[in-house]
Amino acid sequence: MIVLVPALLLGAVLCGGAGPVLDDDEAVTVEIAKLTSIKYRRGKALPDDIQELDGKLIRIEGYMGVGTLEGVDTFELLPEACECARSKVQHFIEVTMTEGLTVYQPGRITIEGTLSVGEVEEDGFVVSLYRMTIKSLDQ
Amino acid sequence: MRALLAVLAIPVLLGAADRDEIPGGVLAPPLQEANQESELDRLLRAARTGRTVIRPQAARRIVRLWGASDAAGRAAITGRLLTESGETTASLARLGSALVEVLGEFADTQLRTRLWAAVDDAGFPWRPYAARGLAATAVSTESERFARMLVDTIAPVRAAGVEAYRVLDSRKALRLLRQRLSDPDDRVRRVTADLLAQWGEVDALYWLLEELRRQDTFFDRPTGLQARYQSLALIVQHLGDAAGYDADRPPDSDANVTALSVLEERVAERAGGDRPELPEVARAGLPTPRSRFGFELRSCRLGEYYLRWTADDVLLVGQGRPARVQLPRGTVARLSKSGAAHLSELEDRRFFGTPGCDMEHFLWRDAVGSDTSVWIISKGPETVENLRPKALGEFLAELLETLPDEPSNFPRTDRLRTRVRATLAALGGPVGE
Repeated sequence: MIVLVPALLLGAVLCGGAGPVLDDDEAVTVEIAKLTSIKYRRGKALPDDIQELDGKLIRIEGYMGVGTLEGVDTFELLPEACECARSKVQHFIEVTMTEGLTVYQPGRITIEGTLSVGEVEEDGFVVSLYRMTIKSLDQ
Repeated sequence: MRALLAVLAIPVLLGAADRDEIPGGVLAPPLQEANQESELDRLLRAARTGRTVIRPQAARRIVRLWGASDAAGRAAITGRLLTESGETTASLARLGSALVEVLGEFADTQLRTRLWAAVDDAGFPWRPYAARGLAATAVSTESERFARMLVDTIAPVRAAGVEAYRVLDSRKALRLLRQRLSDPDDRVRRVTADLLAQWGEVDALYWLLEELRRQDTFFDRPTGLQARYQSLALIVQHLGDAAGYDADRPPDSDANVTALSVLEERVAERAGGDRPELPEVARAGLPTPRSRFGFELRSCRLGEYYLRWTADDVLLVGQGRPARVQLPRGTVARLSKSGAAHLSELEDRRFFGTPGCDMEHFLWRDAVGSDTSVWIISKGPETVENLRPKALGEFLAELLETLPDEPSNFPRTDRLRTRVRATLAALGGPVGE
């Protein structure tokens, strides 16, 4: 018997289904180490304190991925400015900007926006676990 | 036809236990082989050139594809990997790190031999990946070779050596492993403490507890906080819970002081005897706010260096609890003046090269406590001519002259200038020659 797992459904369940919902105007400060230190296994529930952050307005510090393209609206936020942190899906946040465009900044940056938590798949591969929507880099 | 093959490939991709079944029928062997090959092509491409995040997943799927195949299918996959990996470590490197890391899982002697050749080749760019691949499938006849990994120049290779003994479940190397509790790299100390505690050497948990007291930073990067999170995860595995310790809070907050004392009591109860005296390198680091400038080097072949010069003429070597080298009075003031002049020549450029595993980061503060400016030089394993701007090279040459170069029993400072010079040469090019 072959079971075809609808991958996006799993992601939607972990994401809370309806997408991020702001329930607080005050941004919660979150350490990126908290997100990236979890023991992640595909399809397994994330720790409660991580799932609770889904849809929350957060403030977080980290580094733009080395090689971030300029003039686009997405980049990866990492705990360290190196290539070493991008191959594990729990080690980065995929950030999307609603207004600004990327200008590569090599130092530590602070961003504020809405966090979305849960597996997102493309072609059967998990491509992100954490996503964040921010206004711009100089908000 | 190609579309049909692609559709038929889905069950194999999903790792169905009964892989010969497809909706509406059973795969005939010839079609299955063609199908498998096409899926293998796709996965190989994804593992080599896909987005960074999918490469390890694609490599892992090739292992699963192999595991779900019959003898002929397995031989075909192994044969393909042997062809792709070539006869030399240079051709093996072209497979990329994700595939190198799983090659040990195909139960093939030739692939394993090539992985060992890669670990033995100091110029192989994915040595940590090859080492991890071998460690994950360690066999007892290789015990001596894993013992050599434990004293490798690169920390991730040493960590892989520790993991190999976990797989072997061999206490023969206990003495060698205990030495790794004094490793200059905190990742190696952590994995060692975790393994020793797993084996009932409960006193090793004191090393993890000590990490919960770390407050160190490397410029703006909260290295102590990162260590607290990683150690806490291991402690929870060994002790069952965190006793209320919160890695987010400062270790000297009331709640964490209380939690730490509960955790210490539990470890003492299990370990018996006195708390061991931890080596200097393993003791909790404190904030070092007086850093003016520094650099970190990350080389996929030559390891990592973290160097800082403080306003009070101290050179700090390493993260966590760094080694301290007192410099002649006025050294940092002189270098600050020179550095400011050199860095101003770079104008607004902050990044040089292309993303890769070889990186130089220069960190600069105009004054103690001010924001940190960063310049990055980056590249892949291949040499790139004239990568480092002349101004940075000149400043680096001055910094190099302040590094100790004497042989030392302390790994962090042993012939430091020679080692850093060699690493810089492999990254952005030679300095001061």
